[in-house]
Amino acid sequence: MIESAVQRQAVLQPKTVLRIGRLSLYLVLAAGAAVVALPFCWMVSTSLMSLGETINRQWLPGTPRWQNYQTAWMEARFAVYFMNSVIITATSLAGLLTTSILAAYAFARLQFAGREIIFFGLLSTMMIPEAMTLLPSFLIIRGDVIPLPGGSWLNTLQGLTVPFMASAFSIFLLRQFFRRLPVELWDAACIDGCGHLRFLTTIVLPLSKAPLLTVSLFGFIASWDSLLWPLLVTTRETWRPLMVGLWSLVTEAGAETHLFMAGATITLLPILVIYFLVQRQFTEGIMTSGLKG
Amino acid sequence: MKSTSQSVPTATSDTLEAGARLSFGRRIGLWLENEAVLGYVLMVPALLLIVVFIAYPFSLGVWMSLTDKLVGTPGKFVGLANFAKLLRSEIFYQAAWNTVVFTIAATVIKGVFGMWLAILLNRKFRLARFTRATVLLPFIVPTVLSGLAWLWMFDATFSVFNWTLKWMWQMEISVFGMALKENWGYFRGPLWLGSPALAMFSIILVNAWRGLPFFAITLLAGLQTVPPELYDAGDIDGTNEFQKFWHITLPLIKPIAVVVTVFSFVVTFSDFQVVYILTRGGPHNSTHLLATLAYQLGMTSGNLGEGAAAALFMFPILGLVILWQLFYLRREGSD
Repeated sequence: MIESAVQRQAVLQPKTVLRIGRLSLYLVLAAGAAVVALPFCWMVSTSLMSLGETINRQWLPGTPRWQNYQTAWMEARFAVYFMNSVIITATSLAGLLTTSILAAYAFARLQFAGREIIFFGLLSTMMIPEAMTLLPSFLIIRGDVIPLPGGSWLNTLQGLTVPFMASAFSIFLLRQFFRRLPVELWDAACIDGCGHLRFLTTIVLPLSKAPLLTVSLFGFIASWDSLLWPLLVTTRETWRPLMVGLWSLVTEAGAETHLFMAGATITLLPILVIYFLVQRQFTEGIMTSGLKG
Repeated sequence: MKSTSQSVPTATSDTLEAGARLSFGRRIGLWLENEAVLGYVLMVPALLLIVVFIAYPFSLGVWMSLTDKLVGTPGKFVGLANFAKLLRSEIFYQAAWNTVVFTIAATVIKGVFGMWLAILLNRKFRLARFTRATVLLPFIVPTVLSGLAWLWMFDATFSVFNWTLKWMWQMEISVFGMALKENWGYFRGPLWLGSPALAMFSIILVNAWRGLPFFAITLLAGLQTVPPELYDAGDIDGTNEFQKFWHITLPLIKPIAVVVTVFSFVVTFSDFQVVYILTRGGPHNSTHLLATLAYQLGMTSGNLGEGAAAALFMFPILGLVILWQLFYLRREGSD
């Protein structure tokens, strides 16, 4: 398809025009990439500066100071917070995937009364603004509204993870994909005497890698990046995640931009690594299962 | 539907009777083979969580909006007093108007540049896959982090933007044909977040910067479904690039473009983090949005009732947009 396009253009236009077009495409893309990358480059560059250099606002440090990373790591107790973040994210992600897969399968492949209405209601929860649910959720977690198993969930792992173990968007995304799997698969499984749960785990899930990765990455980002909720529910240090540690670095050591930027880079690194590992399936996931009807 | 709902209990009781002599585990297994029962069982975990942590807090919020609850007090029912008070306050109208400007401007920027970016990315070139991945980065990175990075770049006295402008001023490099040295004897540079119009511009810029990649990638997905033969046919008819875009590309990717625009509209409309990090609604409330106003009233000032009322004002518009989208999807799906 591309070859034919190139040939087509080559027939219509002289080669130099083509080359200029190609060059300008690269230039535009390079400019775009620069805009996208600007804050990150500046972040990394600042993280290697001395305090004096950050005050003078330069684009590049004189000599890179790698010890900033060590200082930030020690000062903000990042070792503890990092482990907390890993545990919190893994727990919420496991919960999110389990509930979403099960519910999406029910909505996509099973017939039961009220299915459409319940699904519609579920989707409509997507329009509830977060600013509105934040405080009531906090009261619920504190155990003020309904009795919770084990009393107040403040400063606990379940308080940080359970509210994020279900998402209408994830269910929607997976359901769209599950629905498009051919019916013949189920018919064949049925003949072999395969029940729904075995069909789901042995046939549907292996076929759904792209949407599952997409949901996982969305869930990972939502959990790893969340700040407001952990700020509310962690009054003690025990379960504080990385973002909160980073935030306290901003509020308590406001002037030390270079340390903050070093901390920010540390926080960002796991996301970038994971993203670049799964990016192909992720873009595919958005593109194929994504938002199409 | 009625007949199905009646058949559910009979079917389960049948299997239960049949399985009375079987072991407990086997009985559960038999019971789950009923499709309706299994459907409900699979749904329960997700639904329970969403009801407890989204739907219930929402209704609690609606109730709070009808009371004069402050932090730590039970609050008593005051009817629509909170809404009336908001409708009388100047800041509410300002926030509502700002929300409209912010949402429309950011969505239009994302739509136009996202489309353009998608068309560029749709061409084949070296490192295409890598470029696509890089383009998505602003969407992946925590808003708090990128927001703070932008905050420092916009900073009034030390901004790197202004630092660069200053450098250009010293070098007497002209920008847009205007030599900077002529205008300022002493260089200060614009207050990116300090003057009302520029602050609004800045938050729109950052929001668009963050949302654009998602737009571009989703539109790219749409572009890849357009059969290239159509463009060849267009060539034979002697159409130019713009005509091809307008008459071939646009109609074919319209469904996905509508969905992503609505999705972006909803997210932008209720966006809160970008503004909260960059300006906290200032200067002089010029960047206050309904979401930030709700947060400020409810969480910062502790006036829970008023905060909830402000958040509720967002609800009708979000609701209408999402309902419209659902009907649109259904209509497209049935075609």
